[in-house]
Amino acid sequence: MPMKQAARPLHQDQAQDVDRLSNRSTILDLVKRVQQLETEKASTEKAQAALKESEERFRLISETIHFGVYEIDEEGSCLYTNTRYQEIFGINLVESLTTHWLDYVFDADKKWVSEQWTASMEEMDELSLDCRIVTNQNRQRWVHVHSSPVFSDAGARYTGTIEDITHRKQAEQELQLAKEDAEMASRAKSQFLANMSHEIRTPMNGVIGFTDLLIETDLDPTQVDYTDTIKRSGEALLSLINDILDFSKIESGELEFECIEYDPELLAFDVCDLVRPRIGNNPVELLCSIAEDVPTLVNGDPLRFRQVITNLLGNAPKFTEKGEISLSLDLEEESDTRVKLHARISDTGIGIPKDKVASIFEPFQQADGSTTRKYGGTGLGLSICKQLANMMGGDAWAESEEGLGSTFHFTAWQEKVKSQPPPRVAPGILNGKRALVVDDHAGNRKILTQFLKAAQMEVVSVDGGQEVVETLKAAQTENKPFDVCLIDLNMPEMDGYTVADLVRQAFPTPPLLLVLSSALERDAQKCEQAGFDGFLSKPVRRQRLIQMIARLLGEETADQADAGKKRKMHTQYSVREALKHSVNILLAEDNLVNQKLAVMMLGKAGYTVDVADNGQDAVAKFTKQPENYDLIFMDVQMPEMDGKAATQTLRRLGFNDIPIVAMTAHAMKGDREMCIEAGMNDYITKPIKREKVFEMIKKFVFQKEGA
Amino acid sequence: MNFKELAENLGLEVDEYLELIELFIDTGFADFHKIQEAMARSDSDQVMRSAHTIKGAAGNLGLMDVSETAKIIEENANNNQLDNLGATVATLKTQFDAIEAFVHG
Repeated sequence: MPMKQAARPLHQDQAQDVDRLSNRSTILDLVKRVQQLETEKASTEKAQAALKESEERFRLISETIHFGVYEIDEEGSCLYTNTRYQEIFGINLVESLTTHWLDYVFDADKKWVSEQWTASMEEMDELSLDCRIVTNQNRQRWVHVHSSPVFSDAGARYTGTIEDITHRKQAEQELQLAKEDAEMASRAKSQFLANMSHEIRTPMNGVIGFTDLLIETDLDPTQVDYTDTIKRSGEALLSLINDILDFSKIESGELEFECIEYDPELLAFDVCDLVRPRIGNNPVELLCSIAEDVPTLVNGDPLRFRQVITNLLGNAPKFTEKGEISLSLDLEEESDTRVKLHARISDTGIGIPKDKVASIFEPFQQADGSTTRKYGGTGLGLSICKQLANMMGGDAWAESEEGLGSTFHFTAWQEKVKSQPPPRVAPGILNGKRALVVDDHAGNRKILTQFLKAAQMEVVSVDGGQEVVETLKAAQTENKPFDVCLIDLNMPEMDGYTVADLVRQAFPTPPLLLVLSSALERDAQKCEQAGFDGFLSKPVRRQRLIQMIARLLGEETADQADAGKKRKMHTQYSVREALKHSVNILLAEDNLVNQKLAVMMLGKAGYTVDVADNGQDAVAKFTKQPENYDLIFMDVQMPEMDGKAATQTLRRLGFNDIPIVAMTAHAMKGDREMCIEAGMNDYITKPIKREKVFEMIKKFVFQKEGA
Repeated sequence: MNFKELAENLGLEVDEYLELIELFIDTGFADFHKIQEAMARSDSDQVMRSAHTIKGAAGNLGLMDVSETAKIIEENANNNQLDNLGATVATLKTQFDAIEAFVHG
């Protein structure tokens, strides 16, 4: 400060100088000091004005704010409260300064609130809580208290706010109650639905079961027609009820998942078979491709997996009038113990509007209210799919462009199977046969060569169509003709059709031509016209390729006796039927309960079951489509025609390959001998044990196919 | 009756099993009436067939007592001995009623 500086005593040696300069400097100093003082005064005044303004602002805020504001010192005495604070507690200023807000806390809350307050005081921490208070007028309110410590030279203080949140709390409580009510109602509804569905299913089983029996009786054509309608309607109703039951089971969390080994590829093809008839006469190609790395067997719930794919694929024909519908299955992710499968179902149908793509997976939602009228359905299917997918650790969603088509996705985690079944041994017929591979892609040539060599074939490969005829001719000259020629359809210089033309001009019949196309089956017809004998889509699965060649070679041998017969080209579907399909069982059993039990039991394992009500029916059903069945379970004692007679009839008709397993009553001695004598392969005793049934399927279906 | 256990033995859910039981009750009563009618006209063939049906279904569902009773009726009918079956048929009816009461509470 200048004053202090002037008053400072001077040293002796400085005194003279000061003296000399004193007059001039003193005046100068004085002027300076006056100036300084004026500046200081001005700034003080300014500061005071600012302070006043600030106080005014604070007062205004504090008095108009919706929060109660308080300040409490270290001893717990209240130093300041605003008007709102006093209003909240229903007290005046004096009362507010002589009490503590804690005093007004509702008795039941007092203990824990005090504890928190004390703790926050001790730890100099913030406090934030909701509690009830009782005002001076004895009214209960909810308040939110927020308090923070403030440090200053004068010691610690606590400033804080109190907010009346009574309305909010009431609304919250009402909301909570309403939520609980709604949840309870929803649970009750799900439970009701589950019960109702069950109650409806039971008599429906009776309706359908007895209608089946009715059809078997003597009816005139009109009656048969009526009965068929009853049955179809019954089945439609039952499937609807099943949807509702599934949905309510999912809602109430009661759905359980099996863990059974199954073949996802098989399942995919089965679903295609199931859905194909729905396409009807529309020009729609149904395609199915399974990625090479999808495991042969996984552990999971085949029924649920199949349910989702069936639902997604089953929808496609409804919305697709031309073009194609494809199902592809890929391995998306793999861990040590699990695999994530990704199924894509694409169509070239009407598509889904952008704003509806997500909502169609919500229950009771369809893209358009008119959808239900035009296309039917409950609006539950997709919702069930999504929830099932979620429960399998995956998801279901859709992508679509209106007018161009939709792609539905479905992912699911399934357990790996510890020991994958050993690869099937190639049929001996391939042994030593010669194959020519024509493909511009070196990788493809390598893979195909490897596959064929592993099947004991001799393989030559070329990278384009130009050399094919020459190579074939040279081989013939050397007396080592090719038996089969595998030709890629899409090659840069000469495409597969041209190659086939050239080959057919030079060689009218052998070698057999097999076309490989990445364009899937849409080219199949053109290929057949070009003279191909077989068609496979890329990527080619080893087993399918081998089976196709074996089949072609086998037929060729058979055809030599029947020269000139026009052969139809094979596609992967026709080959698949011989190669792999789900186990299809014919059950001859007259008892409704046993029929239903068998269908349930076997259906759960992913097998399909056709039921025949008696021996005669069994013979009729089997002879109509003998290739359709892998195994017959035959009840021995049946009306009309018993199991023994039915078996003898089938064997007499020349059906010697179909395994027939008798189901016989334990008590009847000699049954076994009688069964074997009648031409049955084995027998199981009643009551039927689940393990025994599966053992028979394993023995007569899987081991046979594996061999 | 422990339906859960019986259902598990067959690898079924309880509600699926209940469905079978309901079907069993429906068809079982029909067969039971056939037995009564056939008894009245001494048609042992029909008695045997109907008892056989009940026996088979009950056995498969794990309802061994019903199955055993039906078996006795079947065997007797097979030997043309319908005279002393009255009590056994009554037992069968009691067993049916018990199941029905159990299911329908």
